[in-house]
Amino acid sequence: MSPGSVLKDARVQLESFRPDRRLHPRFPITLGVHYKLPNQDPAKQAGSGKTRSISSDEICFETTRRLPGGSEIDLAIDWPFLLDGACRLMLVVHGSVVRGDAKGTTVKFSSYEFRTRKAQPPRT
Amino acid sequence: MADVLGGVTVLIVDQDVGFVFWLGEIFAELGCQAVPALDCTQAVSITSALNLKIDLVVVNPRLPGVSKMMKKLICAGRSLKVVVIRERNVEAISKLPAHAILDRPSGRGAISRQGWLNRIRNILRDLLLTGLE
Repeated sequence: MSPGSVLKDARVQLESFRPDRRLHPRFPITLGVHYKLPNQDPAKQAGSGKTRSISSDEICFETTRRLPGGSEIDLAIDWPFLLDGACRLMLVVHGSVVRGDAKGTTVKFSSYEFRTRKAQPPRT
Repeated sequence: MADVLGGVTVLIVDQDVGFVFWLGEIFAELGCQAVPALDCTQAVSITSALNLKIDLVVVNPRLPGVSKMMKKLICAGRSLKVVVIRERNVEAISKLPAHAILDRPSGRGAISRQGWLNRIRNILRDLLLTGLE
């Protein structure tokens, strides 16, 4: 057995025993998300995308633009169902971009809350 | 099942926003009206502001103000059913009288939508058999 293969086997074994350090599971949820970067150039401030996952402290979403890491960001995600057929709920998040790459943007929350707003009447 | 549960309103109260959205989607897929709240104060204010009649509450029993919230929900009428969220690896004793227990997922493991649909469907079926009106 070559030293290389021994090392490889040892690494595989170590990786299989590595404890799972992620405490908060990411739930695979696909919803529309609107974002605003309050400290950016007004022309590049706002946009939208789709969530890929939501955990207790992070949201990962896809957007056509690559958002700069470290930026402050505000997100709004609609609760996907009307309450009592008339009231719309929206999750409003303030946080910062912790990762942004081709796979998506990850935002870590600093605050979040649900807000109500009346549903728009259907357009005729 | 969705037809049977069409009139069931479920209040989900937990601080984990990902889990709240996840449960909301699962309950809605099974035909329930899902109402989210991230704490007990918000749960009370949403239900009273919209005058919602809650049939089932899924709640983290470790949240502050949970007893007070439960009293208000019970006073609002109907026979309220309670599903308690249990933390993994925490030996907490819940004082809430629970009709069912739901284990919170943890770690990196894949979360199966079908698995969760089955889990929630079974809980709802058990609660319906015990007289959810």
